[in-house]
Amino acid sequence: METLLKAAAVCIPAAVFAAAMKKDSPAMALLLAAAAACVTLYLALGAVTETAAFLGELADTAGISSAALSAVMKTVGIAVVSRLAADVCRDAGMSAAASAAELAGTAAALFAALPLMRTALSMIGGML
Amino acid sequence: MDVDLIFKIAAVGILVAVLNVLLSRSGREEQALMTTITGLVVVLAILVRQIASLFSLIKSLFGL
Repeated sequence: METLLKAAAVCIPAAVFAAAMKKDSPAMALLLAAAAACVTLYLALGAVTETAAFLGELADTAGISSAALSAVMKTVGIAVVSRLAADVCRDAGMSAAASAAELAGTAAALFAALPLMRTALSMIGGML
Repeated sequence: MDVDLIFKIAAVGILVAVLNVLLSRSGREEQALMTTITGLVVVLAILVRQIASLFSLIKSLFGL
């Protein structure tokens, strides 16, 4: 709850200031929006830390290998970073760079999931 | 990394915008441009540090 209130206290003034600055210096408004996104994400990830620890415990209990869980976590991290980069680019009106950032994120996520796909393939091979 | 970062950036931005308007009204366009660029560089220098700490948190949290 405290995190949510802090996030609101970051986002609302940032939106107001950005709206006030947009006419005179649009670049500064863009930097302000990026800073607000950065701070909010930082606050949110502080709350995610405990959830991630619990997920690790859950995977231990369920007997899921830590390699599988780490691949999933890596993919989530890649998605967060690429989404942030793409949205900042889109705010600046550069949709080509945003698409490129999303494509890079997709490629990196596929690369991170490669060991999982290999495991699935060997499992299928063992069944046949 | 907290709420005061937003206020810091907003203060620099509003100051730069006001200076920009004042200087360009008094016919000193070059100085207005210089002020805008300086403000941008200052804010970018603040922001880059925060982005670096955010990315290091993401790296350690998600095991990237």
